[in-house]
Amino acid sequence: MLKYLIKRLMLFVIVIFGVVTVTFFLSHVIPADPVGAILGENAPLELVEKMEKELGLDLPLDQQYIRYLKGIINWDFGMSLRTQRPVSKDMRIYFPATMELAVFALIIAMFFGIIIGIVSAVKRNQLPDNLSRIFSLVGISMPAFWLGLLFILILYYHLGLIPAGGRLSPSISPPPIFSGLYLLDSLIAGEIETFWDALYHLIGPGLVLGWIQTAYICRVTRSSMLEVLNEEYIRTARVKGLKEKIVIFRHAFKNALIPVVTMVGISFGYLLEGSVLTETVFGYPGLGRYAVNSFLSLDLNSVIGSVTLIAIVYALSNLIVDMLYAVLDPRIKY
Amino acid sequence: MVQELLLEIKDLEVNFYTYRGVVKALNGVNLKINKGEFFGLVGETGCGKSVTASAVLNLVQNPGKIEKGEIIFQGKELLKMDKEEIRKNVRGKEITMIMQYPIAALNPVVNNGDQISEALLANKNINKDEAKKRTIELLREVNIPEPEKIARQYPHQLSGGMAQRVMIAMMLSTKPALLIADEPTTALDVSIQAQVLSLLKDLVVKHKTTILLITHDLSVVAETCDRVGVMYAGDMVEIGEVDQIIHNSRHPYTRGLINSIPSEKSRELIEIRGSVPDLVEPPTGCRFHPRCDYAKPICKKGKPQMLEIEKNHFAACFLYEK
Amino acid sequence: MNKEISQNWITSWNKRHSSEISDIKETLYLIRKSPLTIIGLGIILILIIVAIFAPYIAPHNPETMHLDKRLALPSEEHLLGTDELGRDILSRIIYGAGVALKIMFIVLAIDLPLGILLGLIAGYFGGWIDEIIMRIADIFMAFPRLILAMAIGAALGPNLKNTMIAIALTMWPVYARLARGETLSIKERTFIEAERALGSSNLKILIFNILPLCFSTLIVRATLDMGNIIRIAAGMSFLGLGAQPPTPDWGLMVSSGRNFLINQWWVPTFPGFAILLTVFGFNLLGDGIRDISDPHLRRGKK
Repeated sequence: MLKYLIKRLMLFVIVIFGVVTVTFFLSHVIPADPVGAILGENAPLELVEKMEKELGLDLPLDQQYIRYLKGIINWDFGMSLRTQRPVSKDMRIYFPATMELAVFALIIAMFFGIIIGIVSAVKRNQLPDNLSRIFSLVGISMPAFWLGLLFILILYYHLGLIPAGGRLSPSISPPPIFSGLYLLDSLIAGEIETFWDALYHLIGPGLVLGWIQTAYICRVTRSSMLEVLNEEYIRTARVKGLKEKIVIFRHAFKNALIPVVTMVGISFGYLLEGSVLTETVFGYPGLGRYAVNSFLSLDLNSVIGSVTLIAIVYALSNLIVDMLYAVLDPRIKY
Repeated sequence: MVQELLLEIKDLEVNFYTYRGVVKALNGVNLKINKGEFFGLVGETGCGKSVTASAVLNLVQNPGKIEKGEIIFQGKELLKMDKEEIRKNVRGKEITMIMQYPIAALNPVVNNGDQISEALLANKNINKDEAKKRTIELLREVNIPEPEKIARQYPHQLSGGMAQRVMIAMMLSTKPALLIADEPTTALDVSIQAQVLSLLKDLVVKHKTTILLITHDLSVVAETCDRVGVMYAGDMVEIGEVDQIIHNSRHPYTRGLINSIPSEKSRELIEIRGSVPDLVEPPTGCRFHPRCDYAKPICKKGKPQMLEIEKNHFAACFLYEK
Repeated sequence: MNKEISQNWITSWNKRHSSEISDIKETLYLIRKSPLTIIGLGIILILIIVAIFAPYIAPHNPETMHLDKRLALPSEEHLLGTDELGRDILSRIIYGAGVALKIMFIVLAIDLPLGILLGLIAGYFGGWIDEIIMRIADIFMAFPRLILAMAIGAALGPNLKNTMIAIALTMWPVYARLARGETLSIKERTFIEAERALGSSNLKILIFNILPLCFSTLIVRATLDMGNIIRIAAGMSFLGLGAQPPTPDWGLMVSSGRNFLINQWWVPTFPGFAILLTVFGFNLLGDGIRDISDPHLRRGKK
C-alpha cells in the first residue's frame, strides 16, 4: 500500500509540473502580443519597453521559463495590473471565499445526493426513482449561470429571500481573518450577526452549485448502488436473514461507495468550474470571479496565478480521492 | 427409522415477467424432503432448480413472482407467513444456502471472520466476543488451517475451495435445519470438489442438518445423495432413492441423462435429441414430449401426474398411467 | 420456382443471423420501453430540423434591429420579445440552434479521431509511447474543463473558432483513455495473434481489427458528452470568451441580456432555457443509449 501511495504522489508531482509548463506555454508562448493587448496598439515605446521588462518578455524563452518557475516556487506571480496588488495577495483574499462556497455546496450535495441516490436505487422504477432521475438529469443539464440569474430574478427580486449578491451586506464588516472562511472566523470571534449574514449570502450561489452537484452525486450513487445490488454477496446477506436496512447500508452501500467517492472528487473540479460562472453572476468575490476578470483584461500575471492555483487544488483533491481508494477497498494492493 | 417430513413443496408455480414475455419457470413442482436426508435436485441449466431454492427462501425477486403453491417447512406454511417473520426466524436461522461462486458470494470489503460472525449475531442471542470465538471454531471445523489469520483476511485473498469452506462455516453457524447447496462445487477444481463434498457429508452427519443439493452433475449426486429429484423445464419429472434413479430410472428424460454419461464400456456419446424448450412458449402437456422417443398423442394434451413406480420411487409420465 | 428459392433464402438468412436479429429486436424493445430515450431523441430531432430549416422557420431575420421596438414584451409579432437592439429573440434562438450544433459537431470531429488515434497507438505499442501519451493526457485532465478551455481560449483570442479548439483540447484525453483501454483488452485476444500469424502488418491490425471494436464504446461516450460540449461552450460565450456579437449564440444572448434581467426578464431567460432544453435532450438520449448498451440489462431470464 505504501508503494501505491508513493507512486501516486510522484504522479501528482509530475502532473503539477506539467500543469505549470502548460500554463507557461499558454501565457508566454501563444499570445501574440500581450503587451499590445494590455496597453493598446498606440502605446508609447518607452511604456511598451518598460512593460516588456516587467513581464520578462525581453528575455529568451528558456530564461523566461526559469524565471517563471522560480516565481511559482516562491508563490510569487508578480503584480496584477488590474488590481495593482501582488497576485498572491489577491489570491489570499479571494481563494478562501471560493473554498467556503465550494465546501458549502459540496456538503449539501453529498448529503442530499447520496440519500436520494440510495433511495432511488432501492425503489428502482417507482415514483421516487423516476422523480429523482428527472431532477438529477435537469441538474446536470442546467447552465449554472442561467440558474443563478433565475435565482436572482425569483428568489431575490420577487421573493426577497436571498441577497442580491456579494459575500456580506454593506453594513457588516468582515470578521477578523483567521482562516479566511467567514463562517468559521465569525464563529470563532463570536460575531454571530456576521455569521448569519455570511450564511445568508452563501445561500444563493451555494444552492445553485449545490443543486448541480447533488445531481451528479445522486446519479453516480444510484448507478453504483444498482450495480452492487445485483452482486452475489447481496444475496448472501439476505440469505443470512439480515434486516434489509443492514443489507443496503452495510453491504451494498459500503461497496457502492468507491465510485461515489470518485465522483465527490470530480465534483470538486466541477465546483471550481461552476464557481467561475456562479461567482460572476452573484458578484461573489472569490477566485472564480477573479480569474474571469483576469482573463477578460488579459492580466497575464493574475491569469497564471489563478489557473495554477485552481489546477493545484484540483490535482490535490484527486490525489486525496485516490488515497481514499486504497483505504476503502482492501482489494487494492500495489 | 421414522421419516419425518421437513420440507414439502406442493404445486409450486413461479413466473418471470420479462421483455420477451412471461417465462413460466416453475410449472407446478412437487417435492418432499425428510429430516436428515441428503437430497439431490438434478437437472440441466434453466430447468428451475435454483428458482425452487429461491422460493423456499422467499427470495424470488423481481421480475419473478410466486403465482401459486404451498411450501410447508417444519409444519408451517411459508407462503402464508409474514415476510418479516420469514426473514427473522426462518432465513439464516433454519434455512440457509451456499452458492456456486463462493468468492463472489462474499462481501469484498468485510473480512472473512466478521462475515461469519454477522450470521451468528443476527440469528442467535450471543455477544460479539462469543461470536468471534465461535467463528474461529467453525473455521477449524471446516478444515481451514490458521483460522485466526484467515478470519482477518479478505475474500479476494482466498482460493475457491477455501472460500467455499468459509461459506459453509457461515451457513452452518446457526445450525439450520435445512442447508441448500446450489451448485456448490461446479465452479471448483475437480480435486477440491471431492474435498468440499466430503466435508459437507461429514458436517451433515455431525450436526444432523438436512441438505438439498442442487446440481446438474449426476455423478456428484450418485456419490453423495440419499434421494434424488429430477427436474426438466420447470417440472419435477422423477423422484426416488438414489439407487432407484441411477439404476432403475423410469422417466425417459432421466434415462436419457443417465445414458449420456460416458462410460468405460461404450465409446459412443449418446445425447438426447433436440434442445431445452423456451419457457415463454413451452410445449403443451408434458414439456418433454418433443424430445421423447416414447411420446404418445396424450403427451401433448395433459400434464402427467406423479405416479408411484415402486416404493419411494415416483415418475411423472404417461407411460405409467394405467 | 423462383418464389420458392427466395423464400428458402430468406428463411436461411433469418436463421443464420438469428442472434443479430434478436439483438436488434431487443434493442428496439428497450428503446420503446424507455420513454425518456424517445423524448430525448425527439428533442434532438426537433433541434436538428430547426437548425437546418432555420431560414424558413424563423419569423424574422435574426440580425435585423428594430430600434424602435427595443426590449419589447413578448407579443404576437415577436413571440418571445425583442432584445436590447430590437432583434427578435425567437428568431435568434432558432438560428442559435445551428450555432450550438455546429460547435458540438466540430468539437467531436476533432476529438474522436484525435482521441482514437492517440489511444490506439498508446494501447497497441505500449512502452514509453504509452507513458508519454498518458502523462500528457493526465496533465490535460488535471485542469477543470472550463478553466482550461478559458485559458486556451484567452491565449488564442476570444472567438468561436478558438472556443471549439479549446473545448476539443480539454476533452481528447477521455477518448484517448477509452480507446487505449479497449485496445489493451482486445490486443491480447487470440484472434489478433492469429492475424499476426497470417502476416498482417500492425497498421492493418489496428485499422481493421481493433478500431471497429472500439467504436461502440466511444460513440456511447460521445453521446454522453454532447450535452456537456454545448453547456461549456455556452459558458464560454457567457463569459465573453466564445462567440462574439452579433452571432446568435445562446450563451452570448444570456450574457448581453443579463443587464435587463429584472425588468425585461425574457431577454436572458429564453435563450438560457433553450440551452437547458437542448442539453437536457442530449443527456436524455445519452442516458438512454448507455442504459441500452449496458450488458446487465441484456441478461436473459434466470
